[in-house]
Amino acid sequence: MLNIFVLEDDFFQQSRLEQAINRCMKENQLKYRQLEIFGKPQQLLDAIKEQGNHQFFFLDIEIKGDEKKGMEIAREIRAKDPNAVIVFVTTHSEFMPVTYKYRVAALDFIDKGLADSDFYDAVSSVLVYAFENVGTTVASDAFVFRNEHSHVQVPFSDILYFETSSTIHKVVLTTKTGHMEFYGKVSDIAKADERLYQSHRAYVVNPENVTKIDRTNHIVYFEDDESCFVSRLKLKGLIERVEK
Amino acid sequence: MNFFEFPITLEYEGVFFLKWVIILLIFRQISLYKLNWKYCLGIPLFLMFLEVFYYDIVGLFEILLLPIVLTIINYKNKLNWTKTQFLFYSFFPFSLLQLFISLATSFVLFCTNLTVEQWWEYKWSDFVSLFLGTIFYYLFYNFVRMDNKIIHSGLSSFRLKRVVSLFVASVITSSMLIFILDVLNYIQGGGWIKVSVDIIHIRRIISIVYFFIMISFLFYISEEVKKEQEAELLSLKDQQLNSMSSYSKHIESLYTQIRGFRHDYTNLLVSLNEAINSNDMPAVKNIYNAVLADSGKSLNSDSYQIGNLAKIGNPSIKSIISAKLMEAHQKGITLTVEVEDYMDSPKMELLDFIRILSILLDNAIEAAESCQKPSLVFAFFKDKGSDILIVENSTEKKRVNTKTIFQRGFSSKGDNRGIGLANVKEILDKYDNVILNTTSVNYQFRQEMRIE
Repeated sequence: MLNIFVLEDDFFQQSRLEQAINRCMKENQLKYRQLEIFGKPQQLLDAIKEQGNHQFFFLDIEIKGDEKKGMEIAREIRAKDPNAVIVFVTTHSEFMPVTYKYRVAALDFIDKGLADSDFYDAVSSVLVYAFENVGTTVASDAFVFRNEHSHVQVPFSDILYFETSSTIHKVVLTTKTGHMEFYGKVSDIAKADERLYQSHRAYVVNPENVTKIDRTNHIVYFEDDESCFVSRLKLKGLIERVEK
Repeated sequence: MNFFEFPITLEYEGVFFLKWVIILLIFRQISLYKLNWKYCLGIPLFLMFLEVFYYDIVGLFEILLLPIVLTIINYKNKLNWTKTQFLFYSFFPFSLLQLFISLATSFVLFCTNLTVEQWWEYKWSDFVSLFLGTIFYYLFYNFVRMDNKIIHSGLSSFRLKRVVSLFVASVITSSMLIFILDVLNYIQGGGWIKVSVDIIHIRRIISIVYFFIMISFLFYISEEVKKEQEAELLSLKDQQLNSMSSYSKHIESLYTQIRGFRHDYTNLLVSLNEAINSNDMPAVKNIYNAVLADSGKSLNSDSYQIGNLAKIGNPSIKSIISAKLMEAHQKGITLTVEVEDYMDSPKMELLDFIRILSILLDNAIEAAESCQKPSLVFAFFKDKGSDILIVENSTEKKRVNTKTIFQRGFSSKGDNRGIGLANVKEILDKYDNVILNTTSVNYQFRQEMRIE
């Protein structure tokens, strides 16, 4: 069950969006628990009572002449609720999908300028997607590491392992999709999150993503043939953590 | 034996300790390697105790101490230096200080009119020489304004390889010569052999002669590096001018297009007005659907994406991006350009940032070109006080290994094309405040750079 919130200061656009939402519910035989439409940002923020990926927001970006009001609201929502679904409904010239996805993990952008039928399709597809995903709480828990120079934030479930870089004072993080290098120490990272395990002087692994441990050669394997080392002393501890 | 019976004296061990602290500080200054303060004091302390026990050996082989220390550090921390750099940093700081100490000694002898033997009888002679030598070094360093970064890049510059090797060879040769003379002197002092020449005198002459050789090398290298950098800057400026003019041409052509629209719109509005006046609703619908509904699309077309660069303040950055993006546009790559905030140059050296930008964009264009539906995303914006740069492109393969592409000499497309990303890594090694996140998933390759 979704709680749908709409932020839109134009009355005509409000009713257009409301119609599209209601039509989508009818055609897909879905039901929302709550649909609230606001013209003022503060009212919307005050109305938020719950958290989770059943909280669905349609936000316009430009509100009452303030060019970035919608963006600020999205940030506030995201700060309180990492799982809420945010979709921007705006004019095409304001589209910044990459930027906004980075900043507030926005699900999508819908162009107000679309013809009615296309507009409906766009609204409908994000809503159906959200309905399908309600309840499937993905471990979107973030791993956060901060020191004087770097601020790293990645989904914890993406982390495979950290290793000392060939560049002095830097660390390389290998994830499921790629890698990144930042200023820091492997030992500090092991201390930053107790879900991690330091398997070697130069390596810290995420036990959740270990697929295989080669006990004779002291190698830890992850998906996609990624691997790193485990020291003899840490082998037993790692096996315990992985099996847990 | 009581600890205090060890012959630790301020005028010998104290000087030795101080000298090594200074050598390590010079090393720190020259190599740009951030040696921990604990090590800067700890290593000299350790060497000092070593010297107490094995006075003769440590005294004679002092020149080899820094290479040994660096070998150990290298083993522990992977210094990532070339052989030339390693040799240079392990011999240069010691011989540099040694030279200045010799100069200081000669200076004192000249001023006081003493002989070396008389001077050495004075208890604090070593201390005075070290003190004066350090001051001379400090003055020299500030006087020639030796730019460590220039020396650093000179050492790794390919064009200057021969001169640099010669320089490093000369540093080592002179160090070794002095070392051999010291050994000879020591043996002579022990009375095993007799040498007819005055070793100390020769040693001093070598020091002074070498001092001038060293200065000429340093000047030559730093001049060459500066010249190289200036040439690069100049060609960059030329490039910038070219791309700026093609950028403005592009914007002008867009303006002409918009003016065309304005003309069309005026005509259309007139006919719409007619239709409305005669209450002819089908005609109104007709006119709207036929022309106006489509015009929005063409105004949002790819060529207008480049216009989004308007918010980039720095002209050099703007010109390099616009040149690359126009190239991509001409190659039929679908563009998405997002610059939301007003962007000035980020907290990096401008030249470094521009180099990285052009490598990332070149790579993205090259990779996207070979796809069936080529696309390229460029985004540059601020988030929580940091500058974020995103360059994303479509790829032929579903997933690319993000690590191997950063290795020198690697390229997914034949030889001599893969130096790009290795250079990016080398540039970023200098910066603590930059994080490069490289991901490849689902036919999309993405470089995300965060500059704190």
